[in-house]
Amino acid sequence: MDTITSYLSSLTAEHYFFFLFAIVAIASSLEVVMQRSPLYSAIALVFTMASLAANFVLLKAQFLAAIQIIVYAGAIIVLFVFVIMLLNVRAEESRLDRFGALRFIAVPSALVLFLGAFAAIRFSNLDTLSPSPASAAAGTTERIAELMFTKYLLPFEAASVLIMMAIVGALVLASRARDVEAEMAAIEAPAESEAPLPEPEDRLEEVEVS
Amino acid sequence: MTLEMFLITAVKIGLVLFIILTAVAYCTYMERRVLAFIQVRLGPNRVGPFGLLQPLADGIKFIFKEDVIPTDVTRFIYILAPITALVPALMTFAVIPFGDRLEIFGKDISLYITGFNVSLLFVFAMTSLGVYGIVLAGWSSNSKYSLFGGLRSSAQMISYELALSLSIIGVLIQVGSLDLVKIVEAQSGWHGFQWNVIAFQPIGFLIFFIAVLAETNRVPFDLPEAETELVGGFHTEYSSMKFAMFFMAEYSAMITASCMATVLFFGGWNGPGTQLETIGPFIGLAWFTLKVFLFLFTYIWIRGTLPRFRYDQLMDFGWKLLLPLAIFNIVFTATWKFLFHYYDLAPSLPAWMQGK
Amino acid sequence: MLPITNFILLSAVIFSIGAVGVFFKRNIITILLCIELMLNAANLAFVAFASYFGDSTGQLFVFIVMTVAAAEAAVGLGLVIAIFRNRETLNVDEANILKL
Repeated sequence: MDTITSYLSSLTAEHYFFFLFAIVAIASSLEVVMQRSPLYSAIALVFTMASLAANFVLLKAQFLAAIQIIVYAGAIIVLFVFVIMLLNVRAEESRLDRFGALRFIAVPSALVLFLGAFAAIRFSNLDTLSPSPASAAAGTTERIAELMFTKYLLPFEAASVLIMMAIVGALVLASRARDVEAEMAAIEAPAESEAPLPEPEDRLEEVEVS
Repeated sequence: MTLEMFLITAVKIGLVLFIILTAVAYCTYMERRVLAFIQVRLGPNRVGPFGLLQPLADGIKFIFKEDVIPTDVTRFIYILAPITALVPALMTFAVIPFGDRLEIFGKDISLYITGFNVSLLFVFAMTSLGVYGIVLAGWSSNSKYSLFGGLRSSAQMISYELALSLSIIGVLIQVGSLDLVKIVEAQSGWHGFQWNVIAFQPIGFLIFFIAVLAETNRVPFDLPEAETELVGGFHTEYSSMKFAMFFMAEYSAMITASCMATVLFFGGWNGPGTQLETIGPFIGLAWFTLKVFLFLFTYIWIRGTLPRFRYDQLMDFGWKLLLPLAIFNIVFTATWKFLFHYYDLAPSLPAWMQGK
Repeated sequence: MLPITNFILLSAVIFSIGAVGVFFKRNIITILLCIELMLNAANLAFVAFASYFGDSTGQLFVFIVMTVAAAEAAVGLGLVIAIFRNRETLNVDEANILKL
């Protein structure tokens, strides 16, 4: 009992905020997996993103928190929702995701994955790591920008090339596939399409006018 | 955080919410009257003097109307959608600097709820969440018109958000901060006239204003709710207070956009007379209100003047004109700033530009 | 600040949940969403370490992870549209032959 009360009295506002947002994050990420409809999954994912952004603020990374909302919630998930609406497949949702025997493999393996991570955290010396005094300045826009345009310029440029390639790739994939066979046929057999037009007199038809 | 600070913040939040919601209500009145004037009509003039109580009557009507939920809608999302539209739209006002600091009863009080080092990004984050309300409403209504409205809206908002965020980079290069208060303070030179729109960001402002029109689904970019082709667009199936919440979200987004244009490009609370002893901050507040009002008027003016874009024209305009122009503006501003610092051109400027 | 273990554990939990999703969901869109979930968990660990060591490099890499996630979503959804157009299904198990 004593340990519980002493633990409770040692909690600060930061603890409460962390637990609140951690619970929201875990619950909504469970929803992402459990929902059958992809739209519900996407909405749950927005909640996960938002609570992770709140955790970023707790870690004094305000810039990334704002970017997280703008890029993930404001752009990427909107894209997902757009595609879900564009395809508009409601009939299929009930047919998909009948878990079957798979769940007896998937859930234990994920548990093993988590236990491995847990053991790694448990037996490491992470608890002794105390926040560095420089941590308040680490999340400012200036520091990130400075690193990005000096020391890590190459990854930054590589990321921009990647985005460029992704744009081209998405365009190629999503633009309506042309009928390749018909085009090939047209190229191989031009005689048909270039057949000479009938003579003018053949095209005319005599109609008797009484 | 002491109790006193908490109380002051709570009072400020309540005051701002009250003023914004009233302003939203009177925006509808202003819109109808100004549109009526442009179209040589009278507009609402029966309730109260000059029809001034019309928003109140509308509000009462919305509350007492029957709240119809169609049978085939996805119920949970259908109810969630208007809330997701309204809440982010109102949350942006937490960081908008309406005025300078002020001394009342010996206490130093800022005329904005809060300010932090990435407040500009906060506004953008909240406005980018606003699209969910429209998209979810379109999807959950289970109606063709709503779905088309939602689809158009999401495509349009993603497209114009790029131009919108790129258009302000020029301002950021000039000011060097993402803090809205610092952006306003940086425009206080030249006797209160060193506004970014004059000092080298006119292109940025133009792109910003056009992109904001598209983001708030206003004419000439109102395809998501084009009533001549889509009945009501995404809110076809909504009625009563849920419908009103969409309208409140739209008008508060308009006010946010006007506030942002004022803060980023038109000097915020800066203007002649703000340097005075006691009444200075109040004059600043008056300047801010005047500028926001002028922007709102321009919105309505544009609505009364311009026809709607066709959909392909809308996309072409956003991607092929606004986006390259915004990138050009960034390159231009960065080059100019570099040359200015490299050759140290500041002393060669005229005296009034140096703030003497 | 809180001990860093809290954040890392949260990150591990979310990563595992995302992994379960990738394992046994059959809808392509949901699988992509679960991959985003895993990327987010990794981001949280990045930010936590960056913040505790006082080094911005981790935060910079979160930025780059977000870029990669955006690229992945664009290409992935392009693929989803192409597959749906050809096969009228979103089930990954039915997209199991290379030819149409």
